[in-house]
Amino acid sequence: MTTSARGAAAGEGLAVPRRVVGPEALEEFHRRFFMPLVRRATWKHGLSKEDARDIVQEAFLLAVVKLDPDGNPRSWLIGVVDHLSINLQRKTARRAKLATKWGFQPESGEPLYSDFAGDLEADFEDKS
Amino acid sequence: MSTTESDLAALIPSWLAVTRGRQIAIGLSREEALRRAAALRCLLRDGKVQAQDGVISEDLKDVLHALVALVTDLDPLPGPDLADEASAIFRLLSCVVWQDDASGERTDLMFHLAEKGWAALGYERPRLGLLRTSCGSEAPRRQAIHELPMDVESLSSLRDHSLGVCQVMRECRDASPGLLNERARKLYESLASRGVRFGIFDERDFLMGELAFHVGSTYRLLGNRISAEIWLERAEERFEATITAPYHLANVGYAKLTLDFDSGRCEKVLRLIPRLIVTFDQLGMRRESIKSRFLEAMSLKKAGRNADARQTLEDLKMESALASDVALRGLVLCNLGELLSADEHYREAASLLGEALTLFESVGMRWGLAQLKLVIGESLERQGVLAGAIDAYRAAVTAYVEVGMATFVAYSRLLLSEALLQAGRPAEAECEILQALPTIEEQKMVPEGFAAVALLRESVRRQKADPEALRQLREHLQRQH
Repeated sequence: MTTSARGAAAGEGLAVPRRVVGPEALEEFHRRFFMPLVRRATWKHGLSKEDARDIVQEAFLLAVVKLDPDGNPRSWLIGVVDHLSINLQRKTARRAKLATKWGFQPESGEPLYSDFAGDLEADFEDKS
Repeated sequence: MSTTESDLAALIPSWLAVTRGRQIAIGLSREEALRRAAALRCLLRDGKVQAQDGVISEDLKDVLHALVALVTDLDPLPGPDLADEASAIFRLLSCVVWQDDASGERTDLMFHLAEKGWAALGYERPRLGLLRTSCGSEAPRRQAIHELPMDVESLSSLRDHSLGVCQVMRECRDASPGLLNERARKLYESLASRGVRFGIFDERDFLMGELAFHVGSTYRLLGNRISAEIWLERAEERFEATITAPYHLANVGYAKLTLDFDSGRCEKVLRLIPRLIVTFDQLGMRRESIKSRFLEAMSLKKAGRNADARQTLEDLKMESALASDVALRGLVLCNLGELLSADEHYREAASLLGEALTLFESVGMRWGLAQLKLVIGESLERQGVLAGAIDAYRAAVTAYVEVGMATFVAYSRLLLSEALLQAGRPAEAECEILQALPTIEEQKMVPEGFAAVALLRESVRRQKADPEALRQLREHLQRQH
């Protein structure tokens, strides 16, 4: 399984400072921070695991640009994951409503919006 | 070395770089987790799952999330059955070791279960919060202090256990602070023993928080501020684990401000109290909001802003919500009477103090009666009625002794001894001073090496009480009082 098209699109060309870390640290990061956020998006917001994973990756991308290192990163990320999850749910519902109205059935795997990640980011900026 | 919170932000760029275009493990699919959760639910219903201490796997974390979702949202049982099922899962979760829980996942799940479970029993969170803080209209029947259980077994046998016990404690606090302190401490220790179970969901934490809160509050009334602070911290810790935490934490915040008030930190109280009043108003805790305004008035009074204090008390006196709160209304009238008396409006003051007396007597508020006697003594002394003042001060000493408020006994004795000196009765005055000094030192009512205490002791030893040292000591304590 790979990160989705929208996750990759949002990450492309992003030059981020990073430090060299070992696999143990990343494994721990996965267990301590990534998976709890994926589970939150899945079970609190009713997303599929794949959508939840993409939302969390989106949140991390936003964090690179916007996270205040002196603040509370965990709370900030939880807030962003909640916000992005709600947005995704809302947009999915809106699209389903439109599809029903116009008798249109999207092909499986077709993205809801061509620039979904940019859309989410813009939404987040509007409300933050 | 484990990843800390501060490492989180620093690791994100590396994480993104490593995972770009690569597979990231996301555990069980939602469908698989739900399938396993349904099986676990059946086992739980059949009593085939024993809650044991143990570390759980990442997959089991998903299954537990799915189980909570099934029971509370996706496929809930009706009414009380939902509460029973949620309670069983709550107990299961309370036993497991949820490793690397920096996000507080387990607590979130337990809070969700508790919230849905209480709601299924008819207690939506706001209603439960108000009921637990006795702001609701459904307070259980009145009970007496001797009915307060002493151990977990007798506690569990009560019909409406935690709410009933809390009501008893609230009603006994003003009449018997010493006795309540002792009983609440014993009950807290009994509940704190490892492995003790009590009630459903967050009920044990709520009751322990409430017990600690009452121990702290009564320690404050009894003049032991250090113990009061320790117990209020304990209360805060326990309350944080309840779904009604905002209601209780606001109450603890108020109690902590009363300690600041006692320690003379009036500016701090005046700075923080408006925010607390807004919180109480937002939570619908009308009585606590009025209590906070009363504390604001007392802080203004202590800070020497008598006109502002008087205005706040006048406003409070007109509050319709105060009519049903006899004890608080008594305190408002008593303090307003004191301020009017200080401004030489003796007739109005006497009327208010008389009304306060009736109110305190009607609810058996013994420390309120003691304070009232002290205020009457001061008023009479100001009017030059020394004999009457001495009688009132003696009555106040007796009343404070009866409720075990040692620091107030000592303060009242100093007022009494000043009046006795003025009345030309030095031997009696020296006797009162000698009884007051040990408490003043033991309870650290003055800073170490406070000169007036040494001067006063020496003057009494020479049987010639120093009125100036006595005045200085009394004025210092008055600022603390």
